[in-house]
Amino acid sequence: MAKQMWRTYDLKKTYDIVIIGGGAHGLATAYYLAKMGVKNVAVLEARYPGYGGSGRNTAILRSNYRTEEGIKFYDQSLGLYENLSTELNYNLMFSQQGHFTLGHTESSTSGLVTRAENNKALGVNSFMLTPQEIKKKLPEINISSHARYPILGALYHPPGGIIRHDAVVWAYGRGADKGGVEIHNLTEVQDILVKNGKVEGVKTNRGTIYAKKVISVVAGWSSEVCRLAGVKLPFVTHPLQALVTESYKPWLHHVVVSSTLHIYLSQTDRGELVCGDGIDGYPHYGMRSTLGFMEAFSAHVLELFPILHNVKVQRQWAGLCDMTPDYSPIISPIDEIEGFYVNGGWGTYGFKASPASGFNTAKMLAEGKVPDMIKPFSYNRFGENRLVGEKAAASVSS
Amino acid sequence: MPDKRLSSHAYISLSECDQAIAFTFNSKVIKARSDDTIASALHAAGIGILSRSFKYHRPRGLYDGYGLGADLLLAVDGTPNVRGDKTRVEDGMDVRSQNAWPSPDFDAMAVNNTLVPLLPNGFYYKMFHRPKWLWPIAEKFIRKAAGIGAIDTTGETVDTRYEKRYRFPDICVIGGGPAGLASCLAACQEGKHVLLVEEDPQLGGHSVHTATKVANCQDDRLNGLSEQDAAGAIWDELKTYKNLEILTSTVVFALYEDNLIAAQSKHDLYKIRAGAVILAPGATDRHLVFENNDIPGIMTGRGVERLITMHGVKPGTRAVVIGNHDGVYHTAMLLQGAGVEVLVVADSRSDAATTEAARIVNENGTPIQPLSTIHAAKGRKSVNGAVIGDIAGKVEHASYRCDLIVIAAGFKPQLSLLSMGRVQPGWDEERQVFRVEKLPDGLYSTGDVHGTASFAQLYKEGKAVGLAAAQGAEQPQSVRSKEDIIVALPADIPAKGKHHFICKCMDVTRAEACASIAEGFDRVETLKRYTSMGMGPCQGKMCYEAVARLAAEDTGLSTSVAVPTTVRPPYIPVSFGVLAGRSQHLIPIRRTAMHDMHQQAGATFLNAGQWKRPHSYGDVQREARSMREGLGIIDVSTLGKLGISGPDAIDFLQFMLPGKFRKLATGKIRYSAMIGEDGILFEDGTLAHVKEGYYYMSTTTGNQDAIRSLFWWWIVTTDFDVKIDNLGPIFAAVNISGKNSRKLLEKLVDIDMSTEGFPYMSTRNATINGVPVMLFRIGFTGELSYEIHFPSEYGEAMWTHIMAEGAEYSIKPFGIETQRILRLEKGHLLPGIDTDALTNPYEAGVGFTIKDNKDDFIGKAFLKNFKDRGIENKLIPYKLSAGDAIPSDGVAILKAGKITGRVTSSRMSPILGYGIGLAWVNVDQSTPGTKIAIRLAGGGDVIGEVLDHAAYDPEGVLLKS
Ligand SMILES: Cc1cc2nc3c(=O)[nH]c(=O)nc-3n(C[C@H](O)[C@H](O)[C@H](O)COP(=O)(O)OP(=O)(O)OC[C@H]3O[C@@H](n4cnc5c(N)ncnc54)[C@H](O)[C@@H]3O)c2cc1C
Repeated sequence: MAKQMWRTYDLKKTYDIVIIGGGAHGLATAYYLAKMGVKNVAVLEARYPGYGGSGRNTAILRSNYRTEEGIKFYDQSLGLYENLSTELNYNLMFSQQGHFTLGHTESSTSGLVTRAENNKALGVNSFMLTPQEIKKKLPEINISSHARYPILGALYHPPGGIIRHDAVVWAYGRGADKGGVEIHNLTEVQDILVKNGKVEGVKTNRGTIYAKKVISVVAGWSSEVCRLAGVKLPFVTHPLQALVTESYKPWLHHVVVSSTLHIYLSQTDRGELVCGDGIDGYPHYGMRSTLGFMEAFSAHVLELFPILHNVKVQRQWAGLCDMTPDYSPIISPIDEIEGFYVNGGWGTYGFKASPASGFNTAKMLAEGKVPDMIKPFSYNRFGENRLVGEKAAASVSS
Repeated sequence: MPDKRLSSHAYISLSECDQAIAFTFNSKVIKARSDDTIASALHAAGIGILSRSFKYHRPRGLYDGYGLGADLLLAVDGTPNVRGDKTRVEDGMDVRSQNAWPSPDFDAMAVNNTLVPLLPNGFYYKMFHRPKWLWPIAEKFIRKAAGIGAIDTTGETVDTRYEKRYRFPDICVIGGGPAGLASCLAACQEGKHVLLVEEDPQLGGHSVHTATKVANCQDDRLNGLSEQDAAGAIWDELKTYKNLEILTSTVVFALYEDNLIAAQSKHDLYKIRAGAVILAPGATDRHLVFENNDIPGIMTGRGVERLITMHGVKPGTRAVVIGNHDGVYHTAMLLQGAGVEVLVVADSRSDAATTEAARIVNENGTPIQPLSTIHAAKGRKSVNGAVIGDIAGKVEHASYRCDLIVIAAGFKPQLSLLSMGRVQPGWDEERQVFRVEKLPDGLYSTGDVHGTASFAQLYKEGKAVGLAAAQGAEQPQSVRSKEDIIVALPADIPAKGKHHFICKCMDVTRAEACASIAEGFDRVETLKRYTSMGMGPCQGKMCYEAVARLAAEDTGLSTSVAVPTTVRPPYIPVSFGVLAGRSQHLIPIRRTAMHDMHQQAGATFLNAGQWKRPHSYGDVQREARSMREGLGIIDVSTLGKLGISGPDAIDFLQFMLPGKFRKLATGKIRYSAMIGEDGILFEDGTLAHVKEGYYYMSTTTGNQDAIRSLFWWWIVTTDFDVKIDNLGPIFAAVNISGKNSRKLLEKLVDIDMSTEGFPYMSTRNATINGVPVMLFRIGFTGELSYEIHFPSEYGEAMWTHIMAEGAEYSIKPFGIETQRILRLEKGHLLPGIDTDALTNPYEAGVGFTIKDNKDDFIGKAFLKNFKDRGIENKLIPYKLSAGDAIPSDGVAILKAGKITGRVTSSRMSPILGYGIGLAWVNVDQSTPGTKIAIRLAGGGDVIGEVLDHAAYDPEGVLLKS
């Protein structure tokens, strides 16, 4: 009989660390905690691992961000991803096929040039290509000047690619379980107990649990869970939609993102085109799909690839994204409540961060000290108005 | 080739149709009838294997004839993944098989029966990742093998014409079967505007292949007719209603909130917004899981009925018929009538049926095996035998040699549209189906989606639901009599064997599902993701019921708590072309009122937001020089223009903008930055007090829509009593710039143009050639210049007039590119180009527009942060040496190998003869005279010198002259 990915346990009365949220970030945190030798950790998941963004994203990985803080952090993550299949002994199907960000306006192209230069300076492989060079790698793309917004250039990032997102969730879950972490499905945190400025534990649908350290790792639900502790952070949850086509013989061997047309697409090893665009323009917790999204995406993708006119959409869906004002995450102890931590603000781009987020968050929890790598992501930056501006590099949901 | 066409049928009359059509399948010519689908024509021609499965390349043939599954994905005239059993043949069609090499009959990629159980469960996660270098190589091979149809990547142009159409009926009925037709009738009789949408080319739903006679119907004229004729009679009656529109061959693929229905008819997308929606999509054959249930030659009951009655095709020669309800005998009778030898009817029930059809089947000598069902199909590429045994899968009763196995195991509701992400269906223990009992307001459902029933019952229910929808009443309760209920067989007949395919699209077996559950994927959602079952081309439409029931069973739950996973749109795959419609993009092109004049003058255009603006008229450097030396004109119509008035106008502006404007006298203009709530500089513009209490604000081209929405947003969310006129498209505008601009204007207008009479930063009204204009003495270029705003409809006339009058001063038009150089020579920033989402206005050098000692205004709190912190970086003008390469916009500035800044705008100045630009640098590099190293995109540095002022006319003498 095959071995179980993770075991089922009864809830204990107390744990040293309680992780709220069984997405890639929560499970990665649990995995690295176990790896660091920390025992007595529980992951509490309201539904099942991967119910949230981690099971709904379009799985684009890259590290060519814009700010020094961002580039270093996402590059650490990409590095961890590169070795993750081997480390977790699970084929995550990381397909490092190369990643294009197309520029169609002078200002967006100039932003791409800045990113290329910042990346080069920090040793990240990312550089500009001319339309003719783009055409060489993507023969089907329309670079003619007749397009509504002709392509002026692209930022190319060879190590970027796509991964099998569910596999990442499962493999981290299995790894955490092996290391002794308890993963509890169908366990919803309904209240966070705080006394005299200290966290005491959480109340769940399965009973109360005591813990000295509690961390919220719930992405799209961050405002809600923080509210349970009386903490207000600048998260605003927006839906993000995606779609997938039927399966076709692979012809597109790179991830293509257009910031002006607000779309992106890639083709999986199964032959499906996985596609998306920007967030819905209104805050919302409903994970509903709209016709407008499919229409707009279709109109825009045909600008880039007119050959796709008879390619068919097979499924559309949506997930929740916890946007922050600067499109950078918050990973931080909360000063006002001892023992309460928040990991969130992953917006439309957080899947690629799972390993680095999990690793540094685990370190923060285990050592009681914020690692330098994630110091810039303290929530205090908003009070001080010292933002880590990644909007230009992260706004097209990938 | 065996001829499978029927010339006659013993029990029904077949429609007359000659074999007038010819098409090709893999280059072979096939004759067909005009009412054939591709699948029926190929079946008639004796072609059994039409495609290969996705994962193991197992052979696939005609199954339900309804296009629910993915058995018949074909390439038709170059379009991949076309459903062969949903597509009518056309003369000359080029049909090709996919995903099989060299042919579907012999496929080199096929993983045969023996290997299927050997591959480890979820094998793709467990192989090829160690050592690390293996995966990229393995992936190449996997990608070569992956995919179903091939996209035609050679076509450059698309001649298909896609169209969007809109409908707004009171009531939209989806599905034209007996219940849908009846509800249509009721709604029409109530005088409502009704739209009926039916996927098939004909109305009638399942009744078109039913020989059964209608009995006990409330509408007596239908009694005694065959169901097909009864449906025809209703159709005829419906035709008399003028308030009804019928769309056939139109498939509803999604139902969204607020009754938005999306439907496709060939190349057209219908967007239907209905007052009420009646969902009557019916039911389809149940997908039974058993050993080798995926072999070609296994067909569903309705699948063979359709072949016989609608296409006149004999499905096979020797058949074994499996079932659990009276309808099985109807199917068996139709088979017999078509000359098929029915070897046995295996009926899972204990009591024999008493219907007319059962009597005929019996009379024809077919044995009926009670308490029996199928244990296994035999055969590799096609069925050659069947094993029958008990329901529990333990005891075998008999084996038969046959080429056809017909599964008539009852029906499952087509729940896709009903549940589409909003309502979770539940197992109805009594009716033995998954069902949605109550839909959100405005949605109604009727017919076989509540469990199959007799024609009479469906008619009755449909009428009642149609009436309720017309009256806005509650959905009437659906009832099913005991005789209507079909007791479901086990979802999987648990006889021995390891090829019980739950999901035929993705080749997922029961054994694989069980192994996955043992690994911990014990919820239907995770199980589905891990095994991919239900995620193939049919998206679970075929197997949803089996998946949900088996997932429950194998995780130790009862069917009553089983839930199908969420159904997501679209119900059938829809192409990007159909979704996009005629426009290739949704972004309109906006042109100014003078566009044609620019075109005539040889301009090239660039995109500025939605607008097309002249980039240049040929030679940028010459344009720039000629403006500086004499007179130039530029079309600035694309600027945003807002008229702001009302009792609270000035209070509103004080709140929206960072400056103080109470003392802005009429006739005066002031420059203003715009600050977000986060204290970030995001826009600038000018505010003119044009007449008492009326302000005129101009904004940049790219931001105008955003600014307008922002102003409106604040008006609705606050108490300010303000009116905002969006004058952007109403007024055209030009800027006249250069030493001779005053001289030209003196010719054009009759107001005082002297420096004292019309000083810098002021506004005047005048008329030019009879057209009322507003004049603004402002300028971006650094020369003496005037902006003229006037009604758009005079665009061309005004341009022509000014060009003619300016000829004596050699007036020349200049484009955006020239303007960018000119403004750079003056060191003016452009929001969005020289600023980004984090720009601190103090650092950008527009701190002078901020008066933070006034009452609350947008961004005040965060501006204080910035101010307290002091300057850390700065936007500075710089110059290069003559002969230096001009860096690209966006490149980095380095100090000791570390990035300390970036260039935002960089151009060659024709008048100065060297490169100039704007750059963000660290404050310690911002002192005038500092040398900065600018990294060229191609490598290598150029050295710039920080300036403390504009490179051109630093004191602004010309501007104010
Ligand atoms: C359509 C879409 C496309 C995307 N594409 C990309 C992409 O291409 N690349 C990329 O890098 N990122 C992408 N993202 C973003 C990425 O998916 C997320 O940032 C990331 O998955 C967040 O992971 P997480 O573990 O923090 O949160 P999640 O995966 O959302 O997990 C949070 C979990 O918390 C649980 N939870 C919530 N409240 C409670 C409670 N009270 N008690 C217990 N548990 C609770 C939820 O059930 C959920 O399982 C995309 C997102 C979406 C929606």
